[in-house]
Amino acid sequence: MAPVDETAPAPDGFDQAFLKKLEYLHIVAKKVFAGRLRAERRSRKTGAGIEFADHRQYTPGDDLRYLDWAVYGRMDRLLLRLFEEEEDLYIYILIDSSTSMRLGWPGDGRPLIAPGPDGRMAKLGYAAQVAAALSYVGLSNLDRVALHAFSDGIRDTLQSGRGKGRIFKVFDFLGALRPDGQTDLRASLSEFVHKTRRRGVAVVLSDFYDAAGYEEGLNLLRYHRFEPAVIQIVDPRESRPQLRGDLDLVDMETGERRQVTLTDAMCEAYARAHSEYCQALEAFCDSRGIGYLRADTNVPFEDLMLRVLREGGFLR
Amino acid sequence: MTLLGLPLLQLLSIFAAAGGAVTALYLLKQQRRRVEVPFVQLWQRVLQRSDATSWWRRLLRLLSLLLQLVIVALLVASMGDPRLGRSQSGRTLVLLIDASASMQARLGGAAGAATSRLQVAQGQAREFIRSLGGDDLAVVVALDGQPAPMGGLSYDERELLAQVEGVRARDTGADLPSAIELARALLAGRPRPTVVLFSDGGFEDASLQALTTARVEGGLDVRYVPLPQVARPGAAGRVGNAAITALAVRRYRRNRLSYEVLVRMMWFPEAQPSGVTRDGTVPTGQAGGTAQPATLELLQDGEVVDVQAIELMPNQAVERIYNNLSGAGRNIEARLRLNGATDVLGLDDRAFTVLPERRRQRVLIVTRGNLFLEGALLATGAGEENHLTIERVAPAAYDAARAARYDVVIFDAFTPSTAPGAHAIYLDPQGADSPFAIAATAKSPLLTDVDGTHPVLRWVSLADVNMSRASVFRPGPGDRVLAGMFKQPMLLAREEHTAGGLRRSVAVGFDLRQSDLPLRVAFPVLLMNALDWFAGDVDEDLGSRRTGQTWRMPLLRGSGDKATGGAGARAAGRSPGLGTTANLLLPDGELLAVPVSEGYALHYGQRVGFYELSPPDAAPPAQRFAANLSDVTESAATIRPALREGAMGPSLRPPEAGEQALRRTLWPYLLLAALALLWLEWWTYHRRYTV
Repeated sequence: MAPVDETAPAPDGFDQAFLKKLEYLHIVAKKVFAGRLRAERRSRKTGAGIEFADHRQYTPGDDLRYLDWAVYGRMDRLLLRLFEEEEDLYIYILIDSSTSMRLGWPGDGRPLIAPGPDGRMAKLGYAAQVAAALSYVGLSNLDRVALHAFSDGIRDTLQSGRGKGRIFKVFDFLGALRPDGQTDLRASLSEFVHKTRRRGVAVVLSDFYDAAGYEEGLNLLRYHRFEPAVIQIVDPRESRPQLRGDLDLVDMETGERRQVTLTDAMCEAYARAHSEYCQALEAFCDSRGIGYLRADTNVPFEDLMLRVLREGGFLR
Repeated sequence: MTLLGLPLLQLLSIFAAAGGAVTALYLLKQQRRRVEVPFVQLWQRVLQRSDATSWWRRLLRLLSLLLQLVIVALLVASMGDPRLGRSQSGRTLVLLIDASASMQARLGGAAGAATSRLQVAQGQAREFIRSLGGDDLAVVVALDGQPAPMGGLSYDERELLAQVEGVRARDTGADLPSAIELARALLAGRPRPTVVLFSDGGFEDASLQALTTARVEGGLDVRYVPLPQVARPGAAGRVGNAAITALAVRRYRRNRLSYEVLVRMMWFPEAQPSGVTRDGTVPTGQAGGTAQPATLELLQDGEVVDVQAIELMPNQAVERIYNNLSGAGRNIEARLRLNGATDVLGLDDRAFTVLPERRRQRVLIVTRGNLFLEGALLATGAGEENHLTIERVAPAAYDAARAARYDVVIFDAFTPSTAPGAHAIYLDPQGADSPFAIAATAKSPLLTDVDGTHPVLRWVSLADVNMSRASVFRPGPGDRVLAGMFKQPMLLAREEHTAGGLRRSVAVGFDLRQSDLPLRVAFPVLLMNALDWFAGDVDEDLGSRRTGQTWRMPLLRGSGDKATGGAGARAAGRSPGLGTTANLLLPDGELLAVPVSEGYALHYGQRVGFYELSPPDAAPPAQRFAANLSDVTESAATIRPALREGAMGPSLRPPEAGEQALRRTLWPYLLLAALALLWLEWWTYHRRYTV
């Protein structure tokens, strides 16, 4: 375990207490799920490894040192020996920082992960906590972790790195996030896949409130050989609203207005519609082999992370 | 109680305004609360589903508006005080509540703790009002000496109860005939006219004839609610009412400065049979029984001057006379106290009177010499110790300025060129200067027409008075013919209202020396009457008055002037005749402005006690007098369990309750309905049924 700087400042709420929580999560993960997680992954690339993988036809220009002379002697064919090349796993954490993720954030200068007046955390803050936890687990396993904040495009990026000591940069990156912009998953993920050469696991943390739909964006990840995983951040205030009476509903992102008089029946109908929306996303992910997890902001992020680790395969 | 009772047009105007306001408020764009949501498209999906039922929602909103308009309509309608249509079976009632003096008597219970008859009668009236039907229209009339309605005819229970509360007991008798006449006027032309009498039944038999008249001529259905028979657990010994039925003071004819006082008392034990007459006589066979000891006290200015133990026989008058009382303006009070018996009515246990001030009169005789005249004046009280001071002057030495300093000037066969500033007696005025215009001269006339009601001719007989000649006067304004022959006035009395006050004069159309009048007893009496009239002393006005009557009190100005003697009396003691009001201080301390007409203040007396009368611009002391009940019928404090029309007529029946216990006033129901609708609107709104 890398040494932790106890005197490090706590940027935007990611303080020592938070760090201890992450460490605890890591220890628990190691004890309970030992062997199921490995930092080392064999890539399908052939390269300068020591373990034989396969042969292929020699083509002019290949390194003659890798010619398998024994095969040439027996079969009179020029084959080139291929070795499996060990390389780091890349974990890309894409965090939605659009305006809709602001729900629950008082916006009075308090850190994102600080609970609001009602004791609840903003969606973006919750997503940041989950992202920090995933990053810490990844960094602890010597994976390379990169973070991207997006809304209508990639707004900010923390380049990939490895080692636990990098967690503070992650904190800085997450602590500097501010909700802004309109969600455009397709544009954001398209930009991401085209800018990222190394393939890896792409964890998308978002509420997936995109008027154009989330399907194309997630498919883009698949098409570009990323291994997408989805964590849908859901706030109970939007899933089961307690609004009543004559209201002027304003969309946080688009500013679109709708005047309604909410009744109990309408709120129940909305809750059903929201549930259907989430189920549709889940069904989409399942049908395409995308890991899906619904994160209710009511649930402490530690519990969520234990669930992530318990299910293991979420990060494959 | 009613609401505004507004007319239909006004109600429609209010409804139009209020309904318009409600509709305008309804149409106004509602200010909605702004709420940010992360993804409004989800809401749109829900709203698109509910749009399918938007027509129903619009209808609900319309229903909500209609509901509010109905609420407004109900409120406006209640302001009109609507009532259900009335049937012809409703009665029109006049509730006569006896407020006479006898209703102040205590009824039942220990002495001091019992309620008065009036309170019991008011309770009966309230109970009856609560039993009235919705169609019964009623009004309350206070039955005292001056019956008057306590309000207007009303269906409203609360209003009628308030009218009952307004009835106050008076120290007067009950004028039943006037009350019945008033009831006839109030009920004329109305359906089922009914009079309900709440009383102790203490009326004179003669007045009960009015009940027969009411039934026969007025078509009134008169009912009677007698007072209940109540036991007197705390009363020891005999129970009844002892009363001072008269307290009179009068001057001696010989010396007008001395008085005698008469006190008349009666004792009425309870269970007194009905039919006491005004003069206090009791029906035959009712005067038996044992004597009731009592104590009579006489007080002057609050000091006891005499105490007598007396015995009162039931229903018999006992009189005591106090001789040679003297004093000026002193307050006399008589108190009667029973020994070993309970007196139910305290009002008539005290009586009051005032020894009227009598100033000396200075009389100037303008004569060439007339022993008849001077002798008659001596007989009426002239002299040092009496009230008259006589001076004589010859006509040649007469001076009008000097005459103004006297109270009375008597012109004997002399006519001054100008009238004196004093009261005057003109004996045979002649010529153009005569203040009484002379129309003709009659020879050897006889006085055929004599007005014996005038104070000047009281106890005076002018029959067969002989005279050789007499002037026939032409009466002017304010003149009153005292005597004459076949409509030819020969004796006149005049009252003039001048700036100096009320001036009176008497004219005799013949010369005393040519008549046998001075030889008769009538002459000094006539002179004495005239002087008393000038002084404002009429025996019936002395000392005390009787309640239940309209008093006509001469206004005397500046009684404080008496210190100046006779010279100032004329200017001092006469009515100004110009003011329209005077101040009257009642026994309970209330100060009233009473009207003044022709120099007399008018007031209907309702309270027993001492009064003070003064012109508004005069300084004290004011004229003081007293008032007493002096009503045997009231003092008898009779309770009749049954009342008959006349002596032998049918008994009056008690009234029936109303045909419907339910009042037909609708406004409470309308308000309740509005309240229920308001609650329904509130409930449906908060349950989101109507939004």
